[in-house]
Amino acid sequence: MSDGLSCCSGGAPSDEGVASDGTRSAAESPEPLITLVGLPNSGKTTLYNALTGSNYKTVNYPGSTVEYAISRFLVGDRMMRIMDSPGIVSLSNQTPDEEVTVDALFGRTRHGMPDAIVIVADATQLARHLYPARHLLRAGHRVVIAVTMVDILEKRKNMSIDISAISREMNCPVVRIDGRTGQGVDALRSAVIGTIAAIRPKTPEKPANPSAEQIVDDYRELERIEDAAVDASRAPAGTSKRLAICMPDPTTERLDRWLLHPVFGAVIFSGIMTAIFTAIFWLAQPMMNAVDRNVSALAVRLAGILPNVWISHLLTDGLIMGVGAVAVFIPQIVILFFALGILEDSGYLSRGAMIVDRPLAAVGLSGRGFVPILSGFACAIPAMLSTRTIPSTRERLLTIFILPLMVCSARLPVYGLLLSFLTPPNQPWIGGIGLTALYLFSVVSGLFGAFLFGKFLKLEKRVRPALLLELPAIRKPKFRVVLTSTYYRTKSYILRAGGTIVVIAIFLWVLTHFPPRPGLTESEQMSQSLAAVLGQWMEPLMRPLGLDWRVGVALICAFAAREVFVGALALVLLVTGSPNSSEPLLLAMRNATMAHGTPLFTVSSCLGLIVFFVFALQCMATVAVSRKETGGWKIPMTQLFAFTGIAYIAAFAVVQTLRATGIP
Amino acid sequence: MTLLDIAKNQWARVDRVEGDAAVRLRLMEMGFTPGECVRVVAASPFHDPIAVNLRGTLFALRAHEASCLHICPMD
Repeated sequence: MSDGLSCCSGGAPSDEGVASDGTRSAAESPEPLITLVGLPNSGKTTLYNALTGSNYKTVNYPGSTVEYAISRFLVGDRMMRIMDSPGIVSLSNQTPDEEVTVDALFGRTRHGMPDAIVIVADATQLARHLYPARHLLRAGHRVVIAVTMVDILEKRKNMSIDISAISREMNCPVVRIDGRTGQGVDALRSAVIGTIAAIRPKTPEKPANPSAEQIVDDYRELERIEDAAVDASRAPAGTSKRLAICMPDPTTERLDRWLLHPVFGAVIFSGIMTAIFTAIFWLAQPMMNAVDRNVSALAVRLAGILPNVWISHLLTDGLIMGVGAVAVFIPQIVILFFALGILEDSGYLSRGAMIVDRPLAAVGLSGRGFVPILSGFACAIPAMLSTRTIPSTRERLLTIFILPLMVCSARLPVYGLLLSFLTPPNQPWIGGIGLTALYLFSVVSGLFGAFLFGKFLKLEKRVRPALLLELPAIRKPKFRVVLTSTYYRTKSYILRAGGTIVVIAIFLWVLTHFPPRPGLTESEQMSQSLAAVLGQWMEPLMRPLGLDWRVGVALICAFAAREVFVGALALVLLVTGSPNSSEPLLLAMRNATMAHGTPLFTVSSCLGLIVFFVFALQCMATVAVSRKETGGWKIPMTQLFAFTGIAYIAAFAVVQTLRATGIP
Repeated sequence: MTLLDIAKNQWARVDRVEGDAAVRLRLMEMGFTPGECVRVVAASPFHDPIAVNLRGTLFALRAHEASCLHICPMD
């Protein structure tokens, strides 16, 4: 798995990124710390997963601003800790991702100074991949080099590599490994044991940035080592050895003629995106229904067993339904992460980013924002986490800014309800067109939002941000590797989003159920609750939108997660029976009237509500992640007030314009 | 001439790297050092971005970064 352009850094989260207490915890954990280092796409995370295997314990550090994974595992009779961190090109870090790694390499985290460093180096591009190794060795670190991708060098480029020559020249142990099959992993473990037994001559220190002359000298030396280690005598003749080493492998070269073609490249890209979206929406639907059904059934069963007191209602309606609100999106998230995993492991992801870079750059974004935006169609939270691979802070903040505008899956049930209310039974296609239009509109409004916000964002306005994206060799994706990354990313999403959503769900349950009045039905209870009081305060705000306090209550509840709107509306509109089947709710919506007898849900008020949901930032979990990722309240608060304000004004304009032209 | 001016699939050598300090440091540490062989493999419309072959791998570079790389063609 690569991390040059990953969806969220592989492995598990995370650390507080606190530099101050490094020494203390090093003393607390006598288990040696091994850190994996490599360029993006070197196969580092794949090796991490192979090294730790199935019998490891991953430790999560909550409250993180940065992300890396640490596992403990047994080597012989010795317990060790192994750390995976984002890929780096050199020790002169330029992105938040790289800063994490460089800090970890020089002991500026709570985990202390690494006892040994395993450098993962791609055999097909040895000089570049040994470059950070040279600097780490010079800085005083104990280093083991793990050479990957030897299969590509041998099978596709018809070359071979002399591992011992690298070892001799670099003066450190070198092991040939394949993380995807597990080959060489045992040899690597023993090399690490041997290395940490040696005495470290000095405490490693981060060197200053090298001068141009030093870089040239280093590369000259590394080219000499590459030349000594790589045997190209069996490679097809016609070019010099140097050029033969420089060429990508023939398979990648051939495929790129199509994948990067100015016209066919875009066609293939659109085809792949369409396939992913189809999978996310059609494939996930039955699974989402099943999750929904099971969670509701569990709540009903528990309610039957537990005594009828408020705390059991808090457990069943608040907690279980809150967990359900997270769980119902897991199928979509899993499919998205699986698709991203395939694109990533095959090497296509970076190529897709290259194809969309120009249009995104026109509004101040980057091709590297392609993965976050794509993830944003499932959920803004993993999308925001995946912006960490964008080196330019400006492009990164702009990407985070527009992510809440993407049609996340939580909006789908709301759009589904309102569109089916608006769609005449004899013209079902209207709903489909409406949904497609909403998706396209979210992309357009996102691009426009980036353009507009870019005008106000002063930061790095004059700097021309770089792309400098590596396009790895194209390979057949390994199912096991893709599954592992899907598992970690899903887990990371659940841990991050889950807690916040559950807390807010419980809070909203309290709002809608307090003060408790025994003997009332659930709907009566809700219409006299704190939320109803709040809703009635909101009534003057709702009336210009052609709505009343009951929709206001549902909108308050939607701050837990947007789709809660549907269930809350069902409750507040006195729907008896299951709030999950939409037919009685649609009926209740048709019969609902305002205080003076006119219908509550009309074409204009429903369209107004849809427009409100298009723009409004109603997800508190997103606000929390945005604060964490942007390192302050400025951007999340701008998002919250600007998007919700625009939503209100746009909904108001739509409702009043329609009514002025005679549409009810 | 810069990397933007060379025909597709023609090899060239990096002559010098220009641009502001951060871009220069990055390009050079990634391996775009003077004397090294490069080749444009694919180009998007308007040459932004382009795919460049260097030291056994491909990079997508925006027109701005590509214009920082001054080259001389090889025969």
